Amino acid sequence: MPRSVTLALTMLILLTAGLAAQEHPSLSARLGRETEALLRPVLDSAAHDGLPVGALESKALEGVAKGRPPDEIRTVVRRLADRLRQARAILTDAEPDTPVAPREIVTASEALESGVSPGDIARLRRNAPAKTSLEIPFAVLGELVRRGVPGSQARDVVAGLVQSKVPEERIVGIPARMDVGIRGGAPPVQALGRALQGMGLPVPPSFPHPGNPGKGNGRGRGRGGGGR
Amino acid sequence: MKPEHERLSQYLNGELPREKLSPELQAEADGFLRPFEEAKRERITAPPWLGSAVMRRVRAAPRSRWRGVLDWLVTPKVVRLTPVTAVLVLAAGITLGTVMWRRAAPGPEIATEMQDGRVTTRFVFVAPEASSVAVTGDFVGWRRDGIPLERDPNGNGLWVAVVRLQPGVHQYAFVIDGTEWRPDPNASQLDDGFGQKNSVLLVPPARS
Repeated sequence: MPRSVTLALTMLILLTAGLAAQEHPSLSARLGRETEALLRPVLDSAAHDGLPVGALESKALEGVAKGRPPDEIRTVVRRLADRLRQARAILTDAEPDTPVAPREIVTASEALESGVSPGDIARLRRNAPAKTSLEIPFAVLGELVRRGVPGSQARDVVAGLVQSKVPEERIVGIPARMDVGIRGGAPPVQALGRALQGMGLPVPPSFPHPGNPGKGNGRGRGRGGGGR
Repeated sequence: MKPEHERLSQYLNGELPREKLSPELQAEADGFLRPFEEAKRERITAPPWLGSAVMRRVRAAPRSRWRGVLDWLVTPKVVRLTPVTAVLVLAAGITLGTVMWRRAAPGPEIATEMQDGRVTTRFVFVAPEASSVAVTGDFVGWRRDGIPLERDPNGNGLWVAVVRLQPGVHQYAFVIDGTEWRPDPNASQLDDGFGQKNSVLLVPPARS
């Protein structure tokens, strides 16, 4: 092959690679040298522990996009790694023989952040039918608690739906439906009961009847509520 | 027409004074005008049964239901309310309007169709003064330029983008004019760890 053709092909390959790199810059390029150096031990340790490193990288990129200094990004990412580690331990301890999906770890950690107790997360995991993804149920559990439903009642509702194998696309609509009741002035538990009833979903027997506001306190904040 | 009849006609039309008529024509003209003079003097009234008979016929005439509703709607009516009732009616109207407005508040809209494993999602943000709005989040690696929203051409300050997302839980925010970060006011929010809020979006796996 003539030398000029080889040179032209090499130039073409380098140019294409350069353009591709511009379009999808690497993590290092987006984080910057200093931030990446600070984060590298945190990311390596997380990978070693089997944590979803993608969630940590995403949080770091978020910090960069929001213009936060490298030190602060490292602090936030490390805190998130600790929460993921805690969530992973809770899920693994609850069902040691069942593998945990990375997305389940992420949403379980967000549920912890929302005020769901470790006990409620563990119980939901233990009571779920085999091969059921809990990514959405953990997220919905966190949403309910964040809206003021006591942890144990939120867990009973979500666990009941998971055990009944209610499709995720129905479970996912509960918080928004509940918001309608809350905006109408209903206490959180009553709003949840109405949402379930309105969506034709099962309401746990222990739950206050939606038509009877006198039953149940309905106004608990839910942080730390519930337990094993 | 004979000349004397023409003069009579001119008189009756007010075009000729009475003095210009001969005594015979004056007598003839009086004969024409007498019944009118008598009618003016007498008071003619309708018999008492006539009004109710006419109204009975009017009411009996066929009329469509919609015409009746329309007549009722456009006929002015006097409504008497006590001040307390008026205040209560006004308060109920304001409350109902507020509830309906809140119910209609737009949030991320998730379509039920799925293509290539992704679910169509519609983001809406209200920013009448903004010159650009983008949505960014974990689904685009938190790029600041994110996915640009398009301004609604109706001039209502709405910005809209349709994005296809993987099912799962996503965090996102809007970037206004390339600098200002804002969560979605109509979605659930979560502390981002950096002192701000992210919005949370749950995308279920739609049935294909």
